[in-house]
Amino acid sequence: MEKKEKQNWLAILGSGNSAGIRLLYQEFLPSIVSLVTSNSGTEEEAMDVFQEAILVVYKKSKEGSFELSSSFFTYLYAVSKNIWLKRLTKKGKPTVTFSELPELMDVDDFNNIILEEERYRLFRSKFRNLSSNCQKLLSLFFNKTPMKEIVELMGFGSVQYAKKRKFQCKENLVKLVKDDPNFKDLM
Amino acid sequence: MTELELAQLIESYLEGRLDEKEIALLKEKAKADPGIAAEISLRKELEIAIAEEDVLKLESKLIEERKKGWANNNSSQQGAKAVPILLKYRALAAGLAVIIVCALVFFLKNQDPKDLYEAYYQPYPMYLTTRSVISPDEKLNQAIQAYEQENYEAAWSSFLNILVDDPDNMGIMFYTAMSALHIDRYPDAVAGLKKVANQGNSIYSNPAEWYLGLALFKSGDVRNARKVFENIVESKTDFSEDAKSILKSISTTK
Repeated sequence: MEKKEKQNWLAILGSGNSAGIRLLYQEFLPSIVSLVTSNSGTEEEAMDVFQEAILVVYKKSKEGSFELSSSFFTYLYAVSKNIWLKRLTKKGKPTVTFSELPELMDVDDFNNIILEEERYRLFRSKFRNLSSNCQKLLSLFFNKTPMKEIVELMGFGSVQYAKKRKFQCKENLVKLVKDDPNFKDLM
Repeated sequence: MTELELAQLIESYLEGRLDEKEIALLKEKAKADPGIAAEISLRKELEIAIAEEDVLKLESKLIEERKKGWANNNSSQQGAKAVPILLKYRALAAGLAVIIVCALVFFLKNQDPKDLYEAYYQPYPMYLTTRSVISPDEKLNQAIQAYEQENYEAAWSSFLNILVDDPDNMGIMFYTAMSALHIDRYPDAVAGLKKVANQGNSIYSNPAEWYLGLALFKSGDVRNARKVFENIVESKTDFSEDAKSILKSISTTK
C-alpha cells in the first residue's frame, strides 16, 4: 500500500539535502512561476523570486520568534508574492492585483529582511568568485576559528602570513562587490 | 589617510585589535564622514553574510538544482515549455492522488487499528547534520547513522546519550522519540513527541504532533489520538489533510 510522504520543508532547507531540494522545486516552483508570469514576469524572473523567497523563509525560520503557523506553501507563496511586488514597483510597473500582506509577518520586518537578503545575495555571489583557498580562509576567519588552527588547516607558515592572506582575500571580495553595477542600488 | 590605510584600520577594528582610544577616533571619523560609516557597515555585513555557512550551502544547492533541472539551457523555447508540462503532470498526479485516497479510505474500512497505523506511518527522514567539517560531532554521527540504517535500538540509546548533555535540543529530542516509537517504547515516544510538539517555534513541532497522534493511536489511546488529530486539522499545517483522512478512517474502523 502506498503511504503518503511527509516532508518537513524547513528541516530540508536546514540540511541542504539534494533530493529534498529537488522535491521542493517540483512541489512549489510551478505555483510561483504561474504567479510571476501571470503578473508581467518571465520564468527566469520567477525562478529568481522562488530562490530568494526560499532563502528568506529559511532565514526567518532560524529566528527564535519564528513560528510557522500556516502551511509552508502559504508562507512561501506570500513571501514570493511580496518579493515580486517589490521588484515590479522598482521596475516602475503598475501595481498588480496582489492582496495585502497576510498576517504572517510584520511589514517593516519583511521589507528589511528582503533588502538585507538582496545585499547578502550579492555578497555571496561575489564570494563564490574568489579562489577556493580565499573562500576557505575567509569562511574560517569569519566563523571565528582560532588563528593557530587556521594556520594549520590552510598549511600556512605563520599567523602573520595568514593575517596578510586574509586581508588580501577580503580586499578582493570588497572590490568585486563594489564593482558590481547593482551595488549602489542595494546599499 | 589613503584608501589602503582606511581599509587596514577598519579591518583592525573588526578584528578587535584597536584600543579604546583608536576606536573612539574611528567612530568620530565615521560620524563626520558617511563614506567611512558606509565602508565599516559594508565590511561588517560581508563578514556576517559569509559566516552564514548554512545559507551559503542552501543557496549553492538551489543554484545547482536550478541548473540541473529547471534552467532553460540557453533555449527560451525549452524553458517556456518546462513548466506547463510539469503543471500537466501535477494535475494528473493530483487526480491520481484523489483516486488513491478514495481507495485507501475504502480499503481501511475493514482494517483494525494496527493496520490503520501501518497504513499512515512511515519512518521520518533524517534531517540532522553535523555541520562542522573541522570538528564533526562523532556522537551525533553515530546516532544519525544508526537511525539511517534503521537500527533504532542503537539510534535510541545514542540520541538519548546526546540528549542528556543537550536537553533543550528539539531536533535531538524528536529523533530520540522517533527511535523510541520504532522500538515500541510508547511512553518514551509520547513524552518526547509531546514536548517537541508543544514547542511552537521548533521546525519539528508539526511533524512531532502528527507522530504523537500516531504513537497514541498505536499504543491504544484512541481517545487522545483523536484529540491530537483534531488539533492538527484545525491548525491547517502540512499534516492537516492526513489528519483529516485518518480521523475519517478511525471512525469507520472496528
